[in-house]
Amino acid sequence: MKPLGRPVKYRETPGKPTCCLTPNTAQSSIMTERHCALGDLEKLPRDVVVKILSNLAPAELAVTEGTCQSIRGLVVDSLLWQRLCCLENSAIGASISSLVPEDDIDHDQQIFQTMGSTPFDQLSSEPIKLEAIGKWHSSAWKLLCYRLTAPNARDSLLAQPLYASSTDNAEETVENVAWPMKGRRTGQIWPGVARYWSSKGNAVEHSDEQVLLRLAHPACLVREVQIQAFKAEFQAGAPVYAPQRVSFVMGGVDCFEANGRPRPSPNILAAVSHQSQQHSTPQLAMQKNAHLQRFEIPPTPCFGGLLQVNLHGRTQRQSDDDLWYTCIAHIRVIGTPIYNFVPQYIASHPISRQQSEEGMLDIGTQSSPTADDGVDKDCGSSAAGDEESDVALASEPVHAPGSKGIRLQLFKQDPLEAAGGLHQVSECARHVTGAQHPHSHIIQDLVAMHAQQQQVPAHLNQAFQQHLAQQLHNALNADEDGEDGDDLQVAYDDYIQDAGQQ
Amino acid sequence: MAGKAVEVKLYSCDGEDFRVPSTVASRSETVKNMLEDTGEEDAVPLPNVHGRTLSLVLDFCKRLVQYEKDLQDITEDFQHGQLDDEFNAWKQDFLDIDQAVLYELIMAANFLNVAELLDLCCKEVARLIKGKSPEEIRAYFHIKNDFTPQEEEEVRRENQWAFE
Repeated sequence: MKPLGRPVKYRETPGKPTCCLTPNTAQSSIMTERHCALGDLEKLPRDVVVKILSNLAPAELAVTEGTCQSIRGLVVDSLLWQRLCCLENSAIGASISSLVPEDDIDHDQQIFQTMGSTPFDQLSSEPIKLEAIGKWHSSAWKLLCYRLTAPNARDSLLAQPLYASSTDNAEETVENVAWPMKGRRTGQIWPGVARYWSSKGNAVEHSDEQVLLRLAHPACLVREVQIQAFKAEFQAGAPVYAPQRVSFVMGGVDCFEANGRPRPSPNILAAVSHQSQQHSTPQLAMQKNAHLQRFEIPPTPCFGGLLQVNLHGRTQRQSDDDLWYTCIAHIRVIGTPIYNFVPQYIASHPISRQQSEEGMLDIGTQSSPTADDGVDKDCGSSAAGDEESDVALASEPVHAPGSKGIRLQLFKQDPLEAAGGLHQVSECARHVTGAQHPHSHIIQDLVAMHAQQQQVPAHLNQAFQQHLAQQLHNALNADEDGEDGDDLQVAYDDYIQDAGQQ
Repeated sequence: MAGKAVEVKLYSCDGEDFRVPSTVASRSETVKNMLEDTGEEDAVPLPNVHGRTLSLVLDFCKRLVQYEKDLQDITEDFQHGQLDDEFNAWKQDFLDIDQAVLYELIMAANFLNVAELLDLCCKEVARLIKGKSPEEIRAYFHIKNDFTPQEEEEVRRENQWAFE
């Protein structure tokens, strides 16, 4: 043992600590060992370097990872991207059990396809294989981390309203809540046509309604829901039929096939429900006015694509029948699709396949013999067409043995982007195509006529049609005199003239 | 036993001798365990830590103990923020040190197991990394780029979003 020096009373260092390095300290060793694998960080214990790296934001970690093999190795070995994902969004971290490649069966081969540059002949070597698997997972979690920190998409994530717990008249269908905001004033988008959903009348003020919506992507991160109550301008006093409070439940039902494409007519009841995968929000108070009201929620994953909007209580009685109603003009869902990732439920689908053809509207007739929990209220006894019964989302919660989380499958080609992107499906694609437009047959006729006259190549027709739909949309909103044909003709002539000049 | 006045002796590797209150020394889990094993009368040798670094570590522990004591004493909520601000300003001053000293401090904090100091130093190094390009990071930390061109391309492809 070294001889002890003269005992020095511990003293406070005045001001900034001074440091006079003696020649045999670390300073000199750094100078001589410049540019070693980890650089100055080389002499720090590995777990300390990992601790340092875990303090970085995703974009910074990605940059740092690209500086040398040692750091990249540390990032891969310490599952740092996975940890960062959970740190960025604990709701996601808690619900995902693992990530799997697109072709789960041929795992190894997939890894090498994804990795790209690693030659196939190295497959025989076991350590390299393990290393590749580690790298694959690291880059998959990195992508997920990126997706989870992406800004909100411009378009609403709402793709298709599926169901309402009650609907008063056929033209007041829940489909209407997805009509685009543009040009919409107090729920009216086309002159003379009010677009809103109305519940049936109810004698009880504190009764609830429920609206089920399908989002555009099987995996979404929802940060905000916007709801506009309907103001009935055509009734005396222009009452607003707002609910008192709203709450949201996300996920838990497969609205998509395993390949990420939406089920043709999702049967909500028949689809296997995964209640352990649902995320719900507390009830939020809603104002009684006709503005689009924003409900910001902590970023919440929606796996499976189902967003359940619960409308609690009512605020307006209709003077004609003295019953309470809830009417909603518009709903928007704000957040980002988790592109390239599709949830893969481990559970099998014992009942969904045969019944999926029957469509969601039969929901009241489906019996639910195994229902055993609070979510099911009285669906089993409902007669066909009895739309006032509460919807039961779940028939039987299926829990895969030994696994509570969702497996996310990484697709090289995202199913939503393959289908043309969010803009193409948002709000039932009405932004883009003018589908289900009351005058869509006029557009069809004009396009056909134009093609005949000008010999426009067929592939241009689609763009042309979109342009016309937009023009028509604008014309009708600017001029509400109802002379639709004239406005359309003007828009059409404008377009022809533009096209001719180019 | 654990009275306020109890002082313990710590010896650094270069033979420097520090007398500190046991409340301060016990912020180091390592020292705390040793004191529990041997009793507070015996001097604690710390063969891995240089006196200069140990002095810094003890400065930090002393300030931390002071901060925690102040927190207990406050009566109004607004004082909480004030104390935090003061402590943060002190930390910033404290970290105004050479990179080499910072690494020594990290190693000492790691060996002595002072979680708060280790966190603080790791955040500081992360702060140094922030906002730099890969080349700048390599130059700053003297890191050698040992990627093959293919590997570098692979990382670049993966990271395209980060570079944008």
